[in-house]
Amino acid sequence: MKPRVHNRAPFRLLILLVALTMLAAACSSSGDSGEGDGSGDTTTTAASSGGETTTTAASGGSETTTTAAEATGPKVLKVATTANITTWDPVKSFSTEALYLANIYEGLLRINPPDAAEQFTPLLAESWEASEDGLTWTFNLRSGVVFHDGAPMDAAAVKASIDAVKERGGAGFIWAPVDSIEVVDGLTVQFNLSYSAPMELIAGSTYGAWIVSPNALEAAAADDTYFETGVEAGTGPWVLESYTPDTEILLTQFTEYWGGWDGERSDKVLLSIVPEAVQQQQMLEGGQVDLATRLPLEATAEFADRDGYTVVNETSWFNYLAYFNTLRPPLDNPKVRQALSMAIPYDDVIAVGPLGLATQARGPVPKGVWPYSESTPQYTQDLEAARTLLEEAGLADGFSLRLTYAAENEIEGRFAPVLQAAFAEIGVDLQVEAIGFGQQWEEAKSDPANAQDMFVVLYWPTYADAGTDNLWSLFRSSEAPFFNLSYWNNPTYDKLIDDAGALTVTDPDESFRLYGEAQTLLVDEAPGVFFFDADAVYVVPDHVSGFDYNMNYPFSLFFYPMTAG
Amino acid sequence: MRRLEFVITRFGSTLMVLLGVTVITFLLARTVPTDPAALFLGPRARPEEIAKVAEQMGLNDPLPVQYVNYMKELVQGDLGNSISTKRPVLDEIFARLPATLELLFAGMTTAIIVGILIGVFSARWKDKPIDWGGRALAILGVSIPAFFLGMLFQIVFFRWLGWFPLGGRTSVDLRFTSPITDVTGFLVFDALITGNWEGFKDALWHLFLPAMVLAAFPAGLIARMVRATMSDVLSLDYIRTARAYGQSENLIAFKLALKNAIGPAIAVIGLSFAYALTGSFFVEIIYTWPGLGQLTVNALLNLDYPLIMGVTLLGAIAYIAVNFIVDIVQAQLDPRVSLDD
Repeated sequence: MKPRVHNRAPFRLLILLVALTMLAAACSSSGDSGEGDGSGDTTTTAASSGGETTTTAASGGSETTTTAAEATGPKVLKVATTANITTWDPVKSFSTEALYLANIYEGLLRINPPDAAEQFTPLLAESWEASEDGLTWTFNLRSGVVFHDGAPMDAAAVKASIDAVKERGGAGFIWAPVDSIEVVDGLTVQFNLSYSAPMELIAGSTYGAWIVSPNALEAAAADDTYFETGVEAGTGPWVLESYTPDTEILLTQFTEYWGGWDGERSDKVLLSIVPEAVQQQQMLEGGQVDLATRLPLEATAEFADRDGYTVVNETSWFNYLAYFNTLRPPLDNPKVRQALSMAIPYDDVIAVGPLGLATQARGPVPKGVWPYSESTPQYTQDLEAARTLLEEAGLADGFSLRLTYAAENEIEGRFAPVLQAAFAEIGVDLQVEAIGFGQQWEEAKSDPANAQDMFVVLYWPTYADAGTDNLWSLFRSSEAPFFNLSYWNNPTYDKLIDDAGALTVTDPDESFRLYGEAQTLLVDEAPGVFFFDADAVYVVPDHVSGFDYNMNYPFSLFFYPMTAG
Repeated sequence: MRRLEFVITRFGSTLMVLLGVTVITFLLARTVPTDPAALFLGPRARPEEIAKVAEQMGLNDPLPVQYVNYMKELVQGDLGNSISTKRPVLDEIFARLPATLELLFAGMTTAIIVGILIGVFSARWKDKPIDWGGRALAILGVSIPAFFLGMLFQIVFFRWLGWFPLGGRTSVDLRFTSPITDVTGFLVFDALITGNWEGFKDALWHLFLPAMVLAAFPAGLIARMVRATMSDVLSLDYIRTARAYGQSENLIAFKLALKNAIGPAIAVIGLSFAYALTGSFFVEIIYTWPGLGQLTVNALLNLDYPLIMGVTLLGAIAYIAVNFIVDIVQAQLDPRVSLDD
């Protein structure tokens, strides 16, 4: 009995361990082969797609890798980002992946920040001009530019890219004024417009304006998922070397980039996807990354006081507002809306919500974006005046309202209670409710008569024209409102912004005057509350040079001039 | 013979369970009051685009038709494409499985070893300081939620002591300094067999905290179970006989008693494996571990239902498989357990 016990107890434990090991091994071997089809494959495809069409791009990239690595190791810029990739298709892209795509692809031109000497930086177009009536735009393209797959960048490629965006792009609507695109010659492309529009601003859009290799466009037209494994074919400075979903993206120099690689440049850019702001902060402090795209707001003030870091604080496109549901009493009465706008302590909202990193908004047009005007009025808190207005509206006894905000947005979550307390001061009982981002839109759109009374929104223009975007999308009336979820309908306002929009190119001064009038009317009628324009805040360690933030590209950072020494 | 019957009936019931899982997850995913097409395109999508995508995704068909279509493809091994990444669901899952399994394996191995040791020590020195300490540890392990312990460890071992990294599977730099060659997908193991000493240290260093956090609950559970059954066994006649023969207490505890006390613990190990699989989701989020947990959380947030279904099915299969193995192993180890239902 005893010797058997002696032998079998460890033996049975061993069976158990072996069983568990085998289970794990079974799973892992399948995981293995899966990885071959999955992320491993992604890497290969990215490289070989360039290789298939032409070898130059892919082999150029990898050669750099080996030689540089053998010498001293590549100079890598390491960035922590939160941006997910919803698509690798530059035609469809209309989301956070712009951070990566904007470094791989280029448009015809780039819009400079408001304080720059020149308004535009020419990229794939060297020059352009508009006809007198603003209906014909001619772009002269840069010669000798090649795509990462080796195809030459020419007028046909530009036409094909923009036609594709118009047809199936997420932001295809930005090209709405364009009636047809003509290839005049190899390097000249002409846009024929059905109504005058500022084409430079459209061509400089973050979304829907990237020029893509015709080979890739053709492949994507045949296979909808062509790009999704991490294939790219841009002209930009960076080639996509590898991509592991939800984990990291590695960019490497495109050796034939038309801008050249003289001067201080990084060899590679490694982007780690780290959703948590606190973790990004730790990685930045620990030196694991050179730059972090999302830090806790609380931490930025702390960084400003520390040696070795510079806090870059710029204006952004992000405008916080709330719609009033103007279809329903009592919010159909402008006096009530004005009273509520006057009840809000804007300084407190800014102090509590974005922790002071914002400026009070002047209507829905963010500061620094056309046609922002310093003469657009603002409300300041005046409880007495607010009470008087409510009395005039016959609502001295108060009423109750329901406000929703996006549960995902912590800034909104912080300042919503401030509104509740402020409204209580004038006898208005505000119920505050956090609901899902998508749900919120759905509720407001599906049944206006039963939708929420107030709806907090974070909005930004799609391209650098808040006249045709913010002012038009958010508050112009239409039969089936898309973004105008205040359901406000004011023919005077509609006419003003329609006229102003038509004059943007041909008579900018008159256009600006009309937009100004429209904004004053809008703020006075108050179909919404205009809270603040948030600041864009970046913490840049001293060893990073060439940090390049451009408010016109709020979802992108350009790595070409950046190095980590 | 009886074992073969057992295996066959077990497979039958497994299929039924999996079918039930698909029905329930499918219904839940599709009846959430949000439009996946709208979510897919974001808030700026135009209504006509949403309608187009909804049509493409087959969302306009009646639910039973959608379900049958889904099952048709599932039977052929096609779980569809993820909505958010557009890549095949199986690829997405297999790309992350090794990371989760490595964590799970490290966590469960630690839990089994530590749990059994604590249990045996507690029983061997019952009501002595060792037992008190062991019981306290077991209670703590069982009662502290993984997400809390995870953050506590981060504060103590990263922030204060700086001994371990905050998260991730390797250092950001590693891929440039000494990249680990992918052999099995288990980085620690791969680095070891390819002789990549730097990579091995780095991967192990990153694995340590999350594995410990994951191990805490099952270790506590196993320790308590082993202590309880050991205490029972130690009061049985054959132990008394062994004592009367003058066998040492250590031999009695670790050899004679443990083999009879281990059976129920194996059942607990099976149960806690299931816990660890879902528990690893929290741990993965806290430690930015690029495994199934992150994938699942993203899938849930994006209402990526093909992916949600895929992960749920995988979880169900893993759970059933582990219980199946546990039943067989238990019957093998303990003649009192039979495979008859």
